[in-house]
Amino acid sequence: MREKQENLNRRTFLGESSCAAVGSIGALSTMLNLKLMSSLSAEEVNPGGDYKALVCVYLAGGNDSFNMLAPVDEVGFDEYSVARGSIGLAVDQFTPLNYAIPDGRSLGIQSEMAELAALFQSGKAAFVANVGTLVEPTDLSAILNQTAKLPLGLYSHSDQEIHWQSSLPDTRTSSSGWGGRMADLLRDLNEDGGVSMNVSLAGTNLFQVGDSTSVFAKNPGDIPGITNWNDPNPVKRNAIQSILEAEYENVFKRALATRTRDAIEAGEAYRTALQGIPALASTFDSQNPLSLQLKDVAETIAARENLGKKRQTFFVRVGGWDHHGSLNSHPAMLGSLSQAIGEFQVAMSELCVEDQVTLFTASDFGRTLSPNGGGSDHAWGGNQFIVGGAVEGGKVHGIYPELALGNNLDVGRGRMIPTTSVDEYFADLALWMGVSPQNISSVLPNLSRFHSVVDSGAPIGLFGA
Amino acid sequence: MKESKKVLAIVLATALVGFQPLSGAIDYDGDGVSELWAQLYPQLAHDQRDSDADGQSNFAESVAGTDPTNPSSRLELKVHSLSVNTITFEWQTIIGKTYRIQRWSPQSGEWEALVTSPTATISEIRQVVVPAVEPVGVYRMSVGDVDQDADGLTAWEEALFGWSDSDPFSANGGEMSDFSFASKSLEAPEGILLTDGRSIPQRLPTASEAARFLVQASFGPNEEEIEKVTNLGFSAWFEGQLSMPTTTTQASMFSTGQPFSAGLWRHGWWRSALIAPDQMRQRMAYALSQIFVVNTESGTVIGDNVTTQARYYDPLLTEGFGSFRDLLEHVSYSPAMGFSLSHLNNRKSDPALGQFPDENFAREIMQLFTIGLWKLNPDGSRQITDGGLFIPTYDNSVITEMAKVFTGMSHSRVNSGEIATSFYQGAQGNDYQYPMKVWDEEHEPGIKVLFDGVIVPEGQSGEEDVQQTLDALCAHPNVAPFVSRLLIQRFTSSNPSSEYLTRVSRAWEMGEGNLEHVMRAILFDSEARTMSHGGGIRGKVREPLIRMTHFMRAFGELDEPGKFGVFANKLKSDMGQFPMSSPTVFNFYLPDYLPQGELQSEGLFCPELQIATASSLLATHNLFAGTVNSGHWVRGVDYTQELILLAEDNDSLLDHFDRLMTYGAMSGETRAAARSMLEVFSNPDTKIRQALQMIINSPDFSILR
Repeated sequence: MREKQENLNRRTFLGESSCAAVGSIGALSTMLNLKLMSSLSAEEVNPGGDYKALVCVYLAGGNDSFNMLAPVDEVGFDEYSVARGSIGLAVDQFTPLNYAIPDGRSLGIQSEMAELAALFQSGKAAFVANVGTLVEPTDLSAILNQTAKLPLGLYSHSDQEIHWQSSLPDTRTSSSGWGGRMADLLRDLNEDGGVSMNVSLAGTNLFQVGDSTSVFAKNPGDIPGITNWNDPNPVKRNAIQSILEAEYENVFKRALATRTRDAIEAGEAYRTALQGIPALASTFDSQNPLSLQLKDVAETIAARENLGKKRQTFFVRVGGWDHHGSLNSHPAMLGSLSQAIGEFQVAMSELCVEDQVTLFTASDFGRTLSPNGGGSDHAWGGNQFIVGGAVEGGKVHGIYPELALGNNLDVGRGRMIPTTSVDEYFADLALWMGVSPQNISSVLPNLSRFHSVVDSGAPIGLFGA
Repeated sequence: MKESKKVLAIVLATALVGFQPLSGAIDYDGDGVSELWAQLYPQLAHDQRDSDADGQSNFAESVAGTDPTNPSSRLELKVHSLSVNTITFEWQTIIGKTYRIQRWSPQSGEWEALVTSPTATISEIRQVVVPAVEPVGVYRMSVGDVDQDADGLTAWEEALFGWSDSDPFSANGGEMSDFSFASKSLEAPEGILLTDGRSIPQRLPTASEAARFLVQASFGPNEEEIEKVTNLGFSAWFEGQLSMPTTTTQASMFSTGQPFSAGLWRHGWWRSALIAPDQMRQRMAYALSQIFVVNTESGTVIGDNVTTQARYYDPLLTEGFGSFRDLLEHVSYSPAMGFSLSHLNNRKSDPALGQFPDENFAREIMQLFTIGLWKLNPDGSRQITDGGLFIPTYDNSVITEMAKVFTGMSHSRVNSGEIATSFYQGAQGNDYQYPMKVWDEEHEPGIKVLFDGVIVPEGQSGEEDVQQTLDALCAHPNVAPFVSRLLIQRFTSSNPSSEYLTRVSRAWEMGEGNLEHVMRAILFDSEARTMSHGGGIRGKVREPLIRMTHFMRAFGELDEPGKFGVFANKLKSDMGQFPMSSPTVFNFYLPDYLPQGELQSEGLFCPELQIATASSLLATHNLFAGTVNSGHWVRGVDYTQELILLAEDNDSLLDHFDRLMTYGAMSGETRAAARSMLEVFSNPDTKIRQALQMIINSPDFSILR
């Protein structure tokens, strides 16, 4: 308790202008040293990374990400326009990133995404091109020959969402997500008890479910709790507790009682941790649902010391990306996404954790390049982005594909075979969080089919070489 | 050595619950005794007492099928003769019972099965020869029931009815399953004349059994409905529900006393759930709305037009016990669905523009509404190749082909009710209530190659293409197990046994997709009707919305016009659900959701816990407690004078709550917690509110078992 108080005081004392000093509070507590001896390898207690958090922004429905990041040079844009037909945007609907990929094409970002463009230009955001679920490396001929091992339920929302979150596209019965398995390794860095290190602002999800780590799922703005729980008269509380602690013969009764007890306990711990945390000066748009979720993430990060956390993951989600009927609303949705992330980065800067918090996007799949009229259909590889001070920004990582229909990545209608697997994408993030190369296979069991971290380091280099 | 062996057999003839059938018997009260046997000896306690003092308890005699009032009727294993190395046993058989001779193994310390004798088809003295391995042997007989056709009735029960245990539809010309017909027969006023000449009296459900049945088949039991079921019996109540006129939401919403608004349909739905007499139909439509998912929250052309909402939902009511094929047609042609899954205004390919048909509806009609992703066995398990792989029902080429089928669909009425003359005409909000039309001018011509070699030939009209495709989908062998499972999950069990699902699928096939038969099979099954069935792993977490309607039906102020308003958005945000407001076509929860913890490690699905976050669990808790207190969000809770009088006696009040809320199965802990509230408070109204707050938020109330 004393240690927490000291940290709080020091931060208050140092004030906003002293991010660097705060970031270097490096001494590990006795607890961490003990944990080091027991279970963790050196990389997992990296003293330089005193606090780290990953924020998963899930774009449910399948973002049409080739209208988010597109070639804007003459040749490249021509190819884009032909492939996309009636759903292609005009060239002036993209903001040039002044960034050329190795084949000479230069890319632009959908112009509603001003905040993201600025973060890219300042080196705090990067894209990962044409990433998707893969069981193993494959190519067009193997797919046409039907010899390829492909993700189960390819192009189906429910399956691909599960695969993106589990990183196990060869099974439909995943019981854990990669974020949860990562937390199973890293959770010992945190103090025991209280609120889970995995916090969701968007309901239950597979991403954060571990073998031993659970998810604290709350609504934005809510502190979960039973009304008048802390009433001085304990009669009602005792009665409720006696019902929840009873030994039930039916498994569903046990499950519901356990969940309710956990919710009460976590809610109380969360409420306590937030007490005394000053309100953020940074503002969030109250009309933007993603802003509201990210505001809660920022507030929870602000309370990280009271919560006893050195590592956290967050899950936020915004739906409505399944643009079959029309892409008319897509640019504005990208704009809201960018706005919320811009607000979040300002808040991270205010909290002096810009370098310690990385936000990344995920989505069911990319969409067909060819139109179905006004919209596009389910496809496979797509473009994602990551944001944070630690990111090797201002770059498009991975291979941005040719967009001409019928190219050697096109399995039909511009459904692109991913050139980077989700395993590779997530491996960079997990290594940054402090998972050791030796242990990465327990987080991403399929990674070795694509890349050897032990031999070659991080697969993509999202955080530099 | 052999010659010198002298056999000395020590025989223990014991009636045992040796091998009960997997699928149970007709056992409404869950006491492990067939109701048929119970009705034969209605005055007898079915426990360890031994009324005829023959050394075998009444319960043991129920297992053996012997007469517990006649000391000479008892299961007895006798030694008929001994040879050098064999023993010949004999005993009196009872038709339908199966017998097993076991030998005690000193080596393993267990009883080992020596002989299982075929199920008795006649009453006889049966002899069986067994080898005598050791000079001294300890033998016993166990007796049990089998259910060879897995219809939920034991061979013994079927024999007494005169039906076959190798055909689940052997009674009544296959009109309904044997179990359903047995249920009906038991409730016949004249009783049943059994094949052995004995007759048994009518058996009607107890109040607790009726309440539990109504938890499954309605939006919640109340005194009036419980009395109907106990007077009529389950079967007659069920048949009565089928023939009752449909309460449409179109009619209900104008009887709510609420002002006209975009939210009126939701008030209408609420009123129907709370007071419509055709409760089972209302429950079925709600279940179907969680399969054929359309979002009607305000802010869209669908959400802002209450007539469109009613015209989408009401066929789920009127056709809810009709043919699945008709429902699928309604859904496929509905502009509300067309708007949601974007096949409204879906156009044919345009090679010049590089444009292809929209695949959205084509995919989801297969994946979610009819056949699912994997080829299934009739018991719902996935078919597996020799290589151990699941078999997809279709690949992406089938989706692109099926997308072509659903091209050309557009409004049949435009400009507020005018008959449309082309695909391209614009429509107003009210035009969305009329089924779409398939316009050939934008329908993809040519052959379409669908799943399993189904070919939609060249040269048909768009209408013919669509009709043929709907036929093909409904003829797919997956439909029965796939949709049956989704329905079972809504009504009775999150994890039906393969036998239960097989029986419901079979009823689907027998009735050619008629949902009346399916519903009968879901409710009239040993797994649904026996509370203790399957031990602690059966049952389900009830939907929070249905817990809310249950409470309101039992205690709400429902007799005043103008009281049928509901704060739908509040309920949705607290509980995570309200009808027709799932954010995606995947419903509020997935059928295969495995919650972390014990359920996951046991491999038990629990869809309803997918919406149970820390926030929603506790918000629901607070919402329910608040509803018990004031009813504000659901408008009107009033505890009657009778209830207030009942509050003078704690035990009577708790019994009353137990019957209405937890069908007589309230745990000691919940009862104690509720009682502690009754003892702390003295004002009768406060006592009621405080005790009910404990019960409404208890696992006993939240879980159906």
